[in-house]
Amino acid sequence: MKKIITLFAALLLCYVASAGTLKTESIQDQGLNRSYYLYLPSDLPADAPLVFILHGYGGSASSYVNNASLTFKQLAEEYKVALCYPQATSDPKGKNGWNVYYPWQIDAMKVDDCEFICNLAKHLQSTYNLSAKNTFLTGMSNGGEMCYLLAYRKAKEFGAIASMAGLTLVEMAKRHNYTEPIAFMEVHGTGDTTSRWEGDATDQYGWGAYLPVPTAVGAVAAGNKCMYEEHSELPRIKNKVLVHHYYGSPSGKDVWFYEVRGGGHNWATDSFDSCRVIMEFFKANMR
Amino acid sequence: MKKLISILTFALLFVVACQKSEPNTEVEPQVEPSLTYSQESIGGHEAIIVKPSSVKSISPVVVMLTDDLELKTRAAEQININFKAAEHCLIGNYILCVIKAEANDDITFLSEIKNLYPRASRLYLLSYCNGLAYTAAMVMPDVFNAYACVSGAIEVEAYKTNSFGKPVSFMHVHATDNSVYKWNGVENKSVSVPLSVGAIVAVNDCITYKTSELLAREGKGRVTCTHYTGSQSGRDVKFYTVEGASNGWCDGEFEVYNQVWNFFKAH
Repeated sequence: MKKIITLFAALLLCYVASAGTLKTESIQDQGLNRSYYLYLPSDLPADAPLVFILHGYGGSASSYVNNASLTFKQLAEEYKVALCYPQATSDPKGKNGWNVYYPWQIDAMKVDDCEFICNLAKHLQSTYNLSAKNTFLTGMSNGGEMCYLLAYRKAKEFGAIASMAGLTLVEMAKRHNYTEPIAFMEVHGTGDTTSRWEGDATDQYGWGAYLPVPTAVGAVAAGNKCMYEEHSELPRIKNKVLVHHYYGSPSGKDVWFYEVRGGGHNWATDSFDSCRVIMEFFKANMR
Repeated sequence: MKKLISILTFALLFVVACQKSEPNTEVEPQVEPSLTYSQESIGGHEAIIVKPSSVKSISPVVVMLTDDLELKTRAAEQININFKAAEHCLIGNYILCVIKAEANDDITFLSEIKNLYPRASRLYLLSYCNGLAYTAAMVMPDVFNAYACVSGAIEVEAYKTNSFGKPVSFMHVHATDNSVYKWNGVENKSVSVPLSVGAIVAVNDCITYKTSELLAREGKGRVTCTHYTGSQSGRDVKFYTVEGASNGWCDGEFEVYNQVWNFFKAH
């Protein structure tokens, strides 16, 4: 009986915590019908921040909306931000993927997902009276790659960007430079065997050549002209998490690098409250 | 008769050959290689030029920027620049041009250095205990073939007004507990050391790195070398990390002069 009451209470809490509205919508962009989920918390004020959450390769927006370990919906209620979960299109391999210059995407994939995200942001800002200044982006894996690509190409459109297990493809670095400073966060497991910490200069693992993760983060810090750094360690839950903070840039935009020792290819929610840390990072960069 | 002529011919040829191959008993006197020092003014800065006796006008030139330059009297026959660094000119057979410069000095005069050594095959820049090599990499990335910084970092003032725009080959040597150019940076003075190196790695677009550990000397800190490569321009970055508190050459920990020269020589 006690168990049932506890379970009921937990379910009720979840319901209360996410009592907002979840909408399924779509827009036309670049000749394609692009779908997305929009979560609007209860009592959302005018000019509220907007947070994009991008899924990984082969994944879906719905899986993120329904992922219990991702607490963004509850956090959206607390922080009063709107959430948007866009859906990637099918790429030349037939998998849902954002166009980030994987070898099979170059030339064959015509959609410009950076343009799509920015167009969608403008649409949501105007339709739902959301803040153009305080629009933020996070994403995991392929969605993390999008974080780097948008940092290169559309930094001005976002207040801050947080990549989870994301990479900088060499193709990105060849085509783009960091021209605008951006508040940036990377969370990455040193034991990630999909998006490897040490990089893959020779495309041994098939995602295309990519930079070592510290080099990729260093490039963002260099683009910002961050001057100083400090290091700390989070209270240990599972994996050791080292936090590298690069600051002192003329724009005041910092770079945070969460190094999850031995961590794998995931949101690292078992080692720290990564969703809350991301939301706090966005909050600290509200304009 | 024919046989006899043949034998005589061979015998004659043999004698001539033996005479030709006789070793030359006159041995050239061995000249002990030596260094010459001269004092000059370059761009309004005090400078000491160190030349090995065997140097040629086409020899490479290493320009070293340091504020640690005190000229003592000729009578004392001593010039107080780091002697080991100067002595290394003999090994590398290069000209060492040591110029006194402070961390935030205007170094634009260096863009004319080629005019001083018009025939020099290569020009290299080394900054010691300051970040002027980084400043030069920002403002004159095409003047030197390679740049090196020992115990310095990007100067904050220079970084506020300049940026890295072109790839450069760069080497950095730094001790983790350096108390002047601190590893994590010094507010309003110097940028953190990893961020300084990272800025060059970024502008070069180096796509990979390899870290190796040098053989440790007894009682000395661990020395690791991270080599960033794979840039399209072919410009690489070498970063020597010395565990400990050295604020100078870190020459107690490893063969820093050889490593700097070898890096220069490779570019």
